[in-house]
Amino acid sequence: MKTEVEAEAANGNVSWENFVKFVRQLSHDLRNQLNAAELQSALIGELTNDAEIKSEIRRLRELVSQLGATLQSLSASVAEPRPTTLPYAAKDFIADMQKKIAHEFPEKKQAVKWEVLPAGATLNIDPELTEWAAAELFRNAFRHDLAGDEVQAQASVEGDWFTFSIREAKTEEIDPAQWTQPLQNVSHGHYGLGLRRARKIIVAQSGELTAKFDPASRTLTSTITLPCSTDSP
Amino acid sequence: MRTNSEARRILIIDDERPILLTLEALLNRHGYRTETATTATLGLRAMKTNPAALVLLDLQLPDADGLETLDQLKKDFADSQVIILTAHDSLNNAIESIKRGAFHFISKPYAPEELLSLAEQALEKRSLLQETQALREKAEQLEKRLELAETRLAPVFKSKVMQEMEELISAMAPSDANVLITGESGVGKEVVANEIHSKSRRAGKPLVKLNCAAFPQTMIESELFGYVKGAFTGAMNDFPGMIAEARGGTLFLDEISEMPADLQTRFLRVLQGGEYRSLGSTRMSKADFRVITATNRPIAQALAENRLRSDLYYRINTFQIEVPPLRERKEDIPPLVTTFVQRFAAQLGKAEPTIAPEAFQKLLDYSWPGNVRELQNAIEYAVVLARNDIIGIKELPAEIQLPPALQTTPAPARRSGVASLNDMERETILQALAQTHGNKKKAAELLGIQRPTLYNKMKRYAIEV
Repeated sequence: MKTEVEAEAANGNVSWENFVKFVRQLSHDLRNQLNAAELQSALIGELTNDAEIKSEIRRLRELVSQLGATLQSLSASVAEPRPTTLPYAAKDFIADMQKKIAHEFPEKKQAVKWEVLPAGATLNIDPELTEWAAAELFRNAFRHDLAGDEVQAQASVEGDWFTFSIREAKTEEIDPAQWTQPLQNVSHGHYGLGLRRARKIIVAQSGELTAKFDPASRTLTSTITLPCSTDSP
Repeated sequence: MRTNSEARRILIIDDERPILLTLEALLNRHGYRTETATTATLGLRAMKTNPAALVLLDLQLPDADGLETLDQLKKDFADSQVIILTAHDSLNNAIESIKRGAFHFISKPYAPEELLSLAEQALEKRSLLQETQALREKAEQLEKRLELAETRLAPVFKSKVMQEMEELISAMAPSDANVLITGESGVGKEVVANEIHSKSRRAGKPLVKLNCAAFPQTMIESELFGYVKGAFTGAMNDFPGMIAEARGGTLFLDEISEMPADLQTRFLRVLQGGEYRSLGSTRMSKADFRVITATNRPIAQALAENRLRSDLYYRINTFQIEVPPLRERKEDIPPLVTTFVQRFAAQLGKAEPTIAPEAFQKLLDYSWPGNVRELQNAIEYAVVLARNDIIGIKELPAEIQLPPALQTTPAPARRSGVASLNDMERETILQALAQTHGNKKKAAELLGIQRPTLYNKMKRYAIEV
């Protein structure tokens, strides 16, 4: 008897929900097996007095740990985000972002040009998830088809909306409608799920993540818009 | 190792057999006793048979939701700690697990070292919680005992002389007048001081007590006035002292005549000026307390021997209360006996024993040289020994069982300060008979006389045993 996933796959039409189920279950099973391998390695490491075997077991455990982290990140990227929001000053959010980008991409520190308009707005966000979503725009920019070295980041407040956008020149044309669709760009260590998750995080906080491509300048502008209040937090 | 083997029992509930087997081997190697279960049902059954100190629980089990199993464990075995191990992690699962009482949440694959460290912490937490619970129970017991002790400390005003004292206390307690309490040792001077404080306007503030006979004379000064750090060798920190502690309340100085003379002068200055200086301090502090003092020495004697300075005496003697010895107020014995019997029976968790009439008569006949304190000790002794809820003569201390003539009696007041030879001889014979519990042969040996001589002397001095 075919499973639901197999049945849909046979029709050449796997739903996103079933794909997520498949990924999560596969990740779960592999992580359980990795756990058994990790425990077994640790036990052998305790039983042996051979220094060489101990050293090899250490390497094996590092590999298991890396694989576990990859699977954990894969599970997280298909999970539905559930933000826990709290009032957060927009200027603090931008300051945190600047630190995060400098830390995550130290070699690209000079490439990011920040243009931040002073604003006393307060966001109602899950800071950690929102930071992750905004950083995903940078990851995407640096990973795919970046023409030139520069990425411009801009933050501003207009009325009750906070806008954060990054502008980057692309070597290839981007279809904004397809831009956050999953599995668009799959490569080594990268599964094309980040922008979809970023959009889900922003939407879950009553915001929007949009993209606009200017064919003339071959520039992609991706924008996060989030509601804000201009009262002090 | 702090914990015993039962406190190191771990139950692993996981449907992945390879994990179960290896984890069990690893934990055993590290000194834990383990049990395993592949389903929630088996796990809960194992807990019912023999609850483990720690449960390692997988969230995805074939027969139940892990979070529901966690709820069940926390409901039925609140004492056990739970660590969630899961390959189905999400922030929400983690938060939910902690909210529902899990000690920790670990994502698979985890490093066994991390698990071992968390297991140790969880067991430590369990042990601390158990210790806290035990201490809480002990504190509750102590509170109950304190309540009982406070009940015991309420004075008994049954006799006429005590009723008059009660009237005096009610009249003068609300004032700030100084009080000097006199009376033999054990009559309850401290109890009277408590009563005065509790009826005073200062009742909500501290009643600070210092027994001048209980401290070396050199220490009384620092206890009373306090000191600043470095005031003398060993003064490692500031100590405010009892005068500061009694601010707004009452200071009870027991055995005031044991306070060194120079300190009495210094204390008098505090009473006169309302200010004092801690040892080593350059700053004067305000004193705000009512003073109640007590002594078991006859005042005239204490003044004559310069044990109590007359200027201090006049200052502290605004009201003088003399608490009479128990032998002079025997009407107070029955209510005191009732109070003490109730108190000690409750303390020992025994039914309240009845006192046999002949034993009660012994209690009334005895002269109680140690006063209320001696009565209290005698009743405690009797309640401990009471059989079938009855206190008979045999359950009373030996001294009380003796015929009245052989009991230790307080020395009679001497007419001219010198005892006659006859009085001394009679007293010596009585002492010998008391020491030998009425055994005349042994008493005669002790006195170095023949038994017939002892009989003759007993007849002459009207001593009956």
